[in-house]
Amino acid sequence: MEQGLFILALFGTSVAAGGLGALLGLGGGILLVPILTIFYGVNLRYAMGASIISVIATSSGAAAAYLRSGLSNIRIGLFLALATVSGAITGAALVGVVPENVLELILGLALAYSAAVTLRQINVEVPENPTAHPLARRFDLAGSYHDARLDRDVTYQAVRVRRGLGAMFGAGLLSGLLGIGSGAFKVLAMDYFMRLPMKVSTATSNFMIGITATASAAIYFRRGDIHPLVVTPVAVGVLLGAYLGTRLMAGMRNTTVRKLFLPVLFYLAISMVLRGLSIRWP
Amino acid sequence: MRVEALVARVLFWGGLTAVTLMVVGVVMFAIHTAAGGEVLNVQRVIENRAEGRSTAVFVSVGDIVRGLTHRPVDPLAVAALGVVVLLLTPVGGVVVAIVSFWMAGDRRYTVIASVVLAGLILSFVLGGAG
Repeated sequence: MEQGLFILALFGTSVAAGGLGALLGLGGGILLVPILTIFYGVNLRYAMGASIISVIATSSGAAAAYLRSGLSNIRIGLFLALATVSGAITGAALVGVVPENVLELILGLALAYSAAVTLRQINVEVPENPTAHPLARRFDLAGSYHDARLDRDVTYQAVRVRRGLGAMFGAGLLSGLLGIGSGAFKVLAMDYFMRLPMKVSTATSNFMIGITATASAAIYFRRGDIHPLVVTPVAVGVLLGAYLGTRLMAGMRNTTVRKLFLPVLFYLAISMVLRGLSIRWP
Repeated sequence: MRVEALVARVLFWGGLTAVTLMVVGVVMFAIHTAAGGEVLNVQRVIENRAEGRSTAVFVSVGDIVRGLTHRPVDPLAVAALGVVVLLLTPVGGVVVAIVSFWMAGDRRYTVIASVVLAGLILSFVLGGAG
């Protein structure tokens, strides 16, 4: 493909992936790796490198907006980043020990599970007032935000903090191993385990993704997997898409976000399982 | 100012600086190519990691500095500098959070954010060793 056209095509694809990513609290990386390798023939390592860099760009852009709007909870984010950063470092250290297709398979199955869980509670707009976990009280894992759509302030507090931390360690592990932001798992840990409102989970996930991805990306950079000509159109495209996605999200209902979230989870689950089984798809 | 607003500012400006450098680098590269410089076979380079490595991939700050001080300036070194700035952006956000928590007298979260920062520094060190 011609050089200029190639860069523009990568850019356009990345705008779409970034927009979807911002809406769902995903970095978009999990979408980009298969697209870049399957449709553009990019070397897998460069695809993973571009993905992880775009994940940081998305997080910086979207998290800045979410932090200002009060949707991101910085304390919950940093507290849980203890687990994701440990996971990412462990994951990066394990690269080469665990076969990649085994990881893809595990990831696909885990995504399918999270999709099923989300399907069960699709119509819950705001979690019912649960009793706060002792750890949540100790570490101030609570907050409130103004929901523009419901037109009222929503207060929340975390439950099942240990399980949330465990899921976060897993999310970090996958980020380090696969070069993704693993936002889906961060949202799962906060939305499902810790019963935080979906919008807070998504916004806080965006903040954490950048920190987690940086732990992975530093290692990718030193390995020589960051190619400027691939990384730049992808990162800029994702950033623009993320900006547009963030604007869309503020006016939407939590249940709408979740309904949007579901098909993406199923799509990713199927594609990851098939990749793990070495079946070419689509 | 609230810690959220400060961190948001670092992330926004860090990200913007990084992306600007990356775009400037790639645009400079395109102009250089159009002006009769060596045309890169993009498909070959991105499909083959060994080939890409020799032409455009930077793996250390030292490499990037050499590309920037070289005359004419290596356009892709400018883009790679953008990548490094992007890597340092979340690190800067955590540093600002540590300082804000400390100044607000929140010892618990000063410690938590410091441990996160230590983890990030460890990843940079581990990457350097690999």
